Amino acid sequence: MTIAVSADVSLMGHLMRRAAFGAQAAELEILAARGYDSVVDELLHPERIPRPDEDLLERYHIEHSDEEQGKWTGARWMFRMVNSPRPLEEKLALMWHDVFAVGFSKVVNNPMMRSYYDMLRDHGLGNFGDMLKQLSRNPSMIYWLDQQMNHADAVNENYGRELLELFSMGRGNYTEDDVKACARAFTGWTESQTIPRYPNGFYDSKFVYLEEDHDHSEKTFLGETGNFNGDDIIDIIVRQPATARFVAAEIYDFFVSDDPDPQAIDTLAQVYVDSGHEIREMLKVLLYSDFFKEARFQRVKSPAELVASTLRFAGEHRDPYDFGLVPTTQKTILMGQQILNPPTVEGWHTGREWIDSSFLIERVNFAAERLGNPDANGVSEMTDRIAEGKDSIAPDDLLDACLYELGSMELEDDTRHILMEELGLTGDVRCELEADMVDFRNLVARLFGLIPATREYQMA
Amino acid sequence: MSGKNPVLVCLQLSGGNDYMSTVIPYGNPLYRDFRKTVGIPDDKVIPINDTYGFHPSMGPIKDLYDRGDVAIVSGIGYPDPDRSHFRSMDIWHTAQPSEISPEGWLGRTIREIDPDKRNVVTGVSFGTGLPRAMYLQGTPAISVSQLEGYGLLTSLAGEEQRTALNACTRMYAPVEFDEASMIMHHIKQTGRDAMTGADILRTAPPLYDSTIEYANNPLAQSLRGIAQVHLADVGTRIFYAQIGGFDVHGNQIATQATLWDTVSRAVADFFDDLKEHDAAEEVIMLIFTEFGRRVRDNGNGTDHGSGGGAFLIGEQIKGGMYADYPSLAPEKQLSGDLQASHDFRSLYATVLDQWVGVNPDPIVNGHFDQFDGLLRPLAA
Amino acid sequence: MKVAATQIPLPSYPANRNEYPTPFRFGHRFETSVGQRLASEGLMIPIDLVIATDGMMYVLCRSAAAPGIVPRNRFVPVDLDDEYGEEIIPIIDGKPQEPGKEFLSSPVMCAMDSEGTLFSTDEQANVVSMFKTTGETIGWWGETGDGPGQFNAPAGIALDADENVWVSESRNHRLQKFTRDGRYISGWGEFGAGLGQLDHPWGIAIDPINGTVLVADWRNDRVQRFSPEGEILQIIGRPGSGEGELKRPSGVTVDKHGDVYVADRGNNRVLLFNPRGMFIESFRGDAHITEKGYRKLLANPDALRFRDNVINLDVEKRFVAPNAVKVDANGLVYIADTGRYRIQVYRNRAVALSPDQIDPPEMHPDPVVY
Repeated sequence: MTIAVSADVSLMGHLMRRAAFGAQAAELEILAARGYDSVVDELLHPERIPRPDEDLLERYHIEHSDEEQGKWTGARWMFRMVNSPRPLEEKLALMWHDVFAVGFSKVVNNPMMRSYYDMLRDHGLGNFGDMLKQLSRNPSMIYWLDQQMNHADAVNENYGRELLELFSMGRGNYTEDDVKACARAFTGWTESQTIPRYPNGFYDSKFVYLEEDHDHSEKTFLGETGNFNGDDIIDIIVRQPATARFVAAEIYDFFVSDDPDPQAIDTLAQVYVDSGHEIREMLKVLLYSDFFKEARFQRVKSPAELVASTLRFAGEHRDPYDFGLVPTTQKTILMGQQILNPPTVEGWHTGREWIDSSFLIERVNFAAERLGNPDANGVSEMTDRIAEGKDSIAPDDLLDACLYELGSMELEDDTRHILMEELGLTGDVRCELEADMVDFRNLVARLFGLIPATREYQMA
Repeated sequence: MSGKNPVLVCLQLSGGNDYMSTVIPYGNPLYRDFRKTVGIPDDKVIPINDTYGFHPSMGPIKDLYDRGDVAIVSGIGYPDPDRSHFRSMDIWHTAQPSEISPEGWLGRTIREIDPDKRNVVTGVSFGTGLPRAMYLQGTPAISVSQLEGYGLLTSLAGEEQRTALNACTRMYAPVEFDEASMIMHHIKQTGRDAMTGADILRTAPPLYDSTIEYANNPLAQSLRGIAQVHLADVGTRIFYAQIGGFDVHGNQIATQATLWDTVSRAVADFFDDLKEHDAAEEVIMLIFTEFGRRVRDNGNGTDHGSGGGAFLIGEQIKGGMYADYPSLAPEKQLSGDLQASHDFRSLYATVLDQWVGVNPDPIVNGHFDQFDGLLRPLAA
Repeated sequence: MKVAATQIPLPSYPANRNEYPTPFRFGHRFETSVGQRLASEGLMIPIDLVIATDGMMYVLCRSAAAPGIVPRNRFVPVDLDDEYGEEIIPIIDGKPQEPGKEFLSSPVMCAMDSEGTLFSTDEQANVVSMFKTTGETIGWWGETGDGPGQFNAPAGIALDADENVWVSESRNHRLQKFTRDGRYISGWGEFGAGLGQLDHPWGIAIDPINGTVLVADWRNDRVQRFSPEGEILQIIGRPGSGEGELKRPSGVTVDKHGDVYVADRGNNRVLLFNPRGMFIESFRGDAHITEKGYRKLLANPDALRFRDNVINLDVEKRFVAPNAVKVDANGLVYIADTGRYRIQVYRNRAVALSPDQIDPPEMHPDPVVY
């Protein structure tokens, strides 16, 4: 392997950590051979690959056809994070889920949560204005922010306010009068009453626009005056410079780094304006930028990302037959993130705040257990690749090989020294004969199980 | 005994405990009208007085009550009841009924007790995952599923675990602060806290020796763990334990009996254990649930309602019945539920101010009237 | 590469038309629905059922357990009046299952022998387990593997006239026949979409008239009929959502006239075919609120208030993912309306005509058989 190729693999590892859910070296080598352009193009166009049929997943998890158990939608999402041939749409759904945070805790209706997640996934890579229009019509969001109580003669400002504060422009870019006008424009946007769940489970709800409950009077919003309805408001919102910066900052934060870089955010905001608010175009510029390519290991993995990428390395839940998908998905709860149930409308506190002493123990223990299992499909495959064509391996090379397999991961020098010293390997490790392999597999699994205990494994 | 710090144990009954089957208004004829199928017969009720009595499974709690250690606080609830388990529990956890908040009331309490984070085990929860009540960003609180083997890399054993933990100790050892990698510094600090907490908690089981034999169920084992940690004297001030299954839409009679049998025995064993070690005086327990249930049964169980009650237990508690039992009269009900007479934050404020010794207002998001004479503060 | 069922040369079945009676079909009358979404005295994910001779249904429920709660895999006895008997919960070594230590963790389908013994398949444990209706766990047999007599995800189960037990295996894509105590007798089947091949077979049924074996060939969106020796006789249905078409069918049963009911799970309906495989009728669900549900709603004034604002209560009647269908000797048809936690019951009003009532022979040539 030449040095140039190894650099390509390393960059591909970075791309897959950020725009997907991580990949083993074997996959990275194939992708690197295809080239960065081709891989980025495919990631940005999920619509070219059909979504796989999930009948087998449903068939072998039939106990979760219980709609009240919102956890199944989360588990299905985890399965997709691990297996989808269109990972970027799952990744973006995860990003938008944190921005447009809606939680099961209040909605308490799984069909509604499922349609909310479908919306994030279907529109996440599209036009930002379209996304906001879908969001404003989503029954989960309507109920979550009390839109059904926003009447022409009794305005409820909850959604109108959060649309401006949390979903688009951010505080300081509008007045209280704008909030009132915005809320009035969304009067009459409501949802159909679902059948109460007693006694036969849950029913879906639909968006309903009640003409007679809409405030048809003139409104002044962000300096413009007219008889605005909700969509008109969104059309105004998406043209605001503050919105461009808001979307750019969210995307930067999710894909690049926990530390904002104003210049990079300006670049992305300009793409937002120039492209007519297309998320796909923003991501395209981002994925080719130097600020992205250089930002290796500068984001703390969210619990969902940590669990999904660990499962991908360990080769678990590749198969729809595998039992135990729900408990595995629920591990993220112990790490501070319950998928489809963010703590508040503000979503999760991300970045360094994912690292809390309870959460860190869960993160380390989960990944160490999965990757330290020599019998896990992925661990066994990676071990085979390390041993392939070799008689023996020097200890330092063995650690390097393990890191390389885990998506071309990097460790600080200090961490390397500590791991090597504590492992206490004195000479080359043999891996030539069948008889060597039992010890070799156990040793390599031990190493794979130690790497998640490093600080570096927490980062993407 | 002086020089001891007050300790609060919170016990959460998840699913919405049916208060009317816990403290039973058996002397009230309306009780029979509304509870045709899940009512407890008079001769089974453990009477407190002519009107009220404990559920038949609550014998051990009645014993504590007779010692004067149990305060029954009726009519506790929150404004504008929401019949969702999740939302109701969130409200109890965050002391914030009007908006959705991520900050737990006990998390804030822990911050008040130990603002400099000197002791990472000030708050310890037993069960799966940290309850939101204990959670506050930047304030350490520990969640333990099993005390034995709590900590990092518990899937390993023996020599492998030893070398791995050595590696962790070194990887997370303090170094000079490096501004360029603040996040790596933060992870290091946090990892060290986690290991410190685990090291401290690991000391508890070997020190523990008791004649009490707790039952082999998760709640009893959680309370045993709490006793172990408390007796190890590591400075934990807030403990949390929980038990689920109270959502008795059906099969209420059998389910309620099993659950209260489990709770009553575990709680009594816990206090007996502490007493045996002369360590009961400084501990009180608050038992709460997210909501009560409908006044009228549904033919086999009861559905989500509001306005339940809470218990405070401990030697420093002045036993008895507090606050009026909510009226069963149809016109006094709230859409078919018991009408709460006291905001739950009054109870929180009472415990925080009079027991824990911190200012309750910022913790419970406002100023609430406290109950008088519910408990005797620990002698300083 | 899958081959569409229509491209396969179809065997002509039945060879002897007189084998089956000629029923006069007067349609089905909706009879009742029972069950509600409750952990006790309710049906949590009812995936299959059997009808005992006394008319009691034993409904197999497979539901996810919340952490710390005993798994809800169990048989729930319920009658047509929505009254419940004592639940049958797997007991291993004298103890009920605990979360994380389930032995019988993923039950799929069930059957009952003439002595009233309940049999159920378990696709995770790879066993067939047996229970008495009094609640005792009798035992289980089977082991993991793909050899004769071994299992990989056993699914459908049915007893033939000799009380041998037929089991379909969804992941070995085959059918096997056993004695009631688990001794292997015979078996056949291979993976594929061709004639007689199977792709994740699910429910099975034995034709009471001639002992032929029908299987819901789940992932091929069809039902196949085999002779007891494994010869392919007939294909019923084809992929789709139109008339007589199937989408991931899970359950199949045959009534005393030889009519074939198919739980067309993916299309949220049940289809009826005649013995020749002609599509006759579809069922989409007509449930009313069950007795228990009625009482529950009355105890919940806010739920009643909400119901008052619901624009379309029609969907409440319909099936969601009906997983299984069974018939009894009295002409009742029981449909496990899995996604709605209930059983819907119809009465079949068909009558078999006596030979002197049949006159003259059919005038039209056979229509196209799917």
